[in-house]
Amino acid sequence: MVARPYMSPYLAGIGVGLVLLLAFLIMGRGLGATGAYSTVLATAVETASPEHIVDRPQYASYLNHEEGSSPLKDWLVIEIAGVLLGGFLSALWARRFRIGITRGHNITDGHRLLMALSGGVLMGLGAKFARGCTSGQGLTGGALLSVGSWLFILFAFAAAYAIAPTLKRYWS
Amino acid sequence: MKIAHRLFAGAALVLALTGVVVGEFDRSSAIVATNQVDVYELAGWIKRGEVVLTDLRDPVDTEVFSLPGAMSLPDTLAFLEAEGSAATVVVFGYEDHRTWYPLQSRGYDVKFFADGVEQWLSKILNPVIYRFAPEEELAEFERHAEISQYFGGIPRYSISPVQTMSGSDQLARVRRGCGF
Amino acid sequence: MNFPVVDISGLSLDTGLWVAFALGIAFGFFLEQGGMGNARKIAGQFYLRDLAVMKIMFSAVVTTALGLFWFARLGWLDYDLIFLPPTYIWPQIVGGIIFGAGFVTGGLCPGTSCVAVSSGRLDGLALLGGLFIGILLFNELFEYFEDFYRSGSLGSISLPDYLDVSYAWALVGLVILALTAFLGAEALARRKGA
Repeated sequence: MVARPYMSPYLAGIGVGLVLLLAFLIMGRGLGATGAYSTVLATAVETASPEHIVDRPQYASYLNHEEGSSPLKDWLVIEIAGVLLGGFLSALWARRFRIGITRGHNITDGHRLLMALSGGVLMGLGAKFARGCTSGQGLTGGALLSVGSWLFILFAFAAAYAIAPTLKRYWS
Repeated sequence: MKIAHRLFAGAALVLALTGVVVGEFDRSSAIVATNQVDVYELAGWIKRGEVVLTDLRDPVDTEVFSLPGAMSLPDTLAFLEAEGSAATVVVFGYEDHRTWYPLQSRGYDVKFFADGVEQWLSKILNPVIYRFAPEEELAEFERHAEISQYFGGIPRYSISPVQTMSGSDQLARVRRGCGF
Repeated sequence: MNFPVVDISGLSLDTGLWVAFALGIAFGFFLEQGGMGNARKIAGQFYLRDLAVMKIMFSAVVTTALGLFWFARLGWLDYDLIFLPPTYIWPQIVGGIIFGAGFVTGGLCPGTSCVAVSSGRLDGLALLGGLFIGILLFNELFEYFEDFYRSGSLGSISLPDYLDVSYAWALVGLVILALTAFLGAEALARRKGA
């Protein structure tokens, strides 16, 4: 089965922009991603070891037990659940759904998975320092012309471009 | 370049440039900041019945203490509709909340009295001045003494240059049941 | 003045969560449609091979920024009620560098990793795992860089305010920047094609 071609990135971008605009108009805030993961992690840590959360605001700030509900009943967590579903629906419709690994031709699956994991660790760290990622800072903060968001994106892309040559073989 | 691309690019440029031409939007925080009323001016209006006063705080707080003649938002809206009034509405107790929007959207002229309760307590009901303050300050204090007394306030002279009690401390006293 | 709805007319918590879900679905849909579930396509940005990332992000930012300005200018939106993420210069610069390094290594970002997972990509899953490890590391070592984390605070501040230019002119600058980037991308693609 042949997959459909990708949508024009300009059109996809406008689509994302309209969704982001709606978020601002309805909720007074933009979209995000990293915060959802922080909440999920904090919930897991709290479940495993409630004492560990005490005096650790880096966890506690993500644990909202108001109205006796689970901290996972959180705006960003629910949004990310939506992203998962939306991506799935799109992939299904475009006939792009396939269990597999996207990688360059010169490396093994295992190597790719290790690099993906490493990349994730770095991005997790970086996003925590920056209070957001390409969604929360790049798109949301970017649309608001926030100083810190534009600094973040500038340096993120600069670092990526700087390191790219060393990874050329791995990606081609 | 495809037609669609040209259209979008053109639209974006037009929207941005038109924005420059029509000018910026007024920030609501700026509107609030530039439409503040002076406490003594307000006292004069209240005395002469020339203003509609709206207390935007929780009923829990408004029951303890409020400014003379102040109404809740629902009461204010009902009053204005019944009177068909073109009066100026002064709101206080709003903090950061845009609780006054129902007034603005009905076209009433809204002015703002920041920290309303604190200002009223400290400047009208319990004004205090250092006994040996500069001439002009003492003279101004004298001028305001009359309006203070009209509302039952007691102007006092202090032998210490330090302000005795802030408006919020005074409010706390009222809540605890102490008079002033 | 009707927007943001949550502050003006009010919105129950549950309704807000349904809004989150719906917006998330649309977000994920457009990202996947733009090919953002494909790590090689994303990485192509950093080899100037496939500039979809830049095109999507710039298009989105311009669309939203213009939308926000006009809704505010037409008196429909109270711009002051929009949450502007605060600026912390140093951690955001350093965080950006670390993030960028991870971005070109992993080929996906926190949001697009979900899209990759939704497309059946196991590398997306691995990246997601890495994200959790990274956040855990940050949290566990927090006390050592807490001071740095809170340094360089400028509060919520936008570029037009910081540079003391009008918001409208800043938007013109943004549009010109985006269109220049797009023209450059198209020129690059034509040269490579030839």
